[in-house]
Amino acid sequence: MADNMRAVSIGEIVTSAAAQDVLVAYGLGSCVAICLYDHVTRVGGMLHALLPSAPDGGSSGNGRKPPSGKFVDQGTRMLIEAVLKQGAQRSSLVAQLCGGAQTLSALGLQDDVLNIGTRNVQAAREALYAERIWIRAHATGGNIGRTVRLYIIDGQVTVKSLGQGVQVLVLALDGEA
Amino acid sequence: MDGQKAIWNRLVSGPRSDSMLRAVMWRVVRGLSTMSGQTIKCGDPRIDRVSIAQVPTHAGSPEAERVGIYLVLRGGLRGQALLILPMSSALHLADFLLGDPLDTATELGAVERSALAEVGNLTVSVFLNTMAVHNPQVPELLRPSPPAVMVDMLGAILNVIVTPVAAVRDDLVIIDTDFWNDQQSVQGRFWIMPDPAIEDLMV
Repeated sequence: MADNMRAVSIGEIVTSAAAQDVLVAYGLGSCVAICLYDHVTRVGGMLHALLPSAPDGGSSGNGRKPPSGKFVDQGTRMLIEAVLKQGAQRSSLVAQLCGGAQTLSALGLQDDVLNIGTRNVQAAREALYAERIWIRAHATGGNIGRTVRLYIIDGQVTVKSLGQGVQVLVLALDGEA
Repeated sequence: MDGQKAIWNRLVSGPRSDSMLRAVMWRVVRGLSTMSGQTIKCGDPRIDRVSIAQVPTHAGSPEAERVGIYLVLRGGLRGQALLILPMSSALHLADFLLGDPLDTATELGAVERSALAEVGNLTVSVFLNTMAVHNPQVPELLRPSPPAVMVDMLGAILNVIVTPVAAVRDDLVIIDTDFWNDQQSVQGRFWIMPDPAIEDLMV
């Protein structure tokens, strides 16, 4: 069965229960990809977020802009809702993180710009902790870009970066509790 | 901000936008030609409004290895600038800048990166100087940041230009100009992006 690549672009959330699907976020720099997978129902999802939180701190329900997958905090909640809607069970969800690099290094730029990758990873950890979802593995930080793939058939996550080839981040989960 | 909006609008959509853009970019490649000792040419600049989700694929495969030379534009005309080159072109350009035979550089070491950073300085400075000539009413000094030379997947490089935009918008305006030398051993793209805080740029 051929793999069906489904790209997850910036600000997007993609979920799947189709065994042939592979969710992929290309060229993560400071962006962070959060992969969620339920090894019991074999449902998975991926968020590709760009910023840790909205600048005004707003979220849905308070009359401000609707929640957006651009932001890690809002996007994580949206991702969880989406995979649950797809049929996943919260009790068996595990997460993997990828990205959050600092690819830019220059004098004279604001610290905020330079630290955005780190802040994205921190926001992801905090959001998942708040939801009681275990982070099984991560490929984050550093100063290199990454492409992450989540294979829905078995939950395997691979990470590719220039000069380092493809590495398996998470081995296949076979009904592991 | 109103002054900047007027300047950017004049560049991207005014009645003389096309001729102004061509004049600006012609000066940029002329400066690049002088600096490199090569005849650098450019195509007609294109102006696109691109969603941030599509930016990573707007210049090719997001996994492709690219060299990016990035500067922030501050002061009287705020925005971002980015030169994008394949690694081979970056190495060849470094050869020309350093006065070495073609294919001398096999990797981007400190010297090669420094030379490419100067390319960023020159192209952006020429752009800003030309804009100042066309817009004498610019109230503040035009101050580019120091350049940053990045070597990475294209998608990761483009993360840098999308990040400051995403907080305020879901799209950005890109003024996109191809450039190349006669032998096609140097090919690249020069992007100029107006400050995303400027609303309602007419593109």
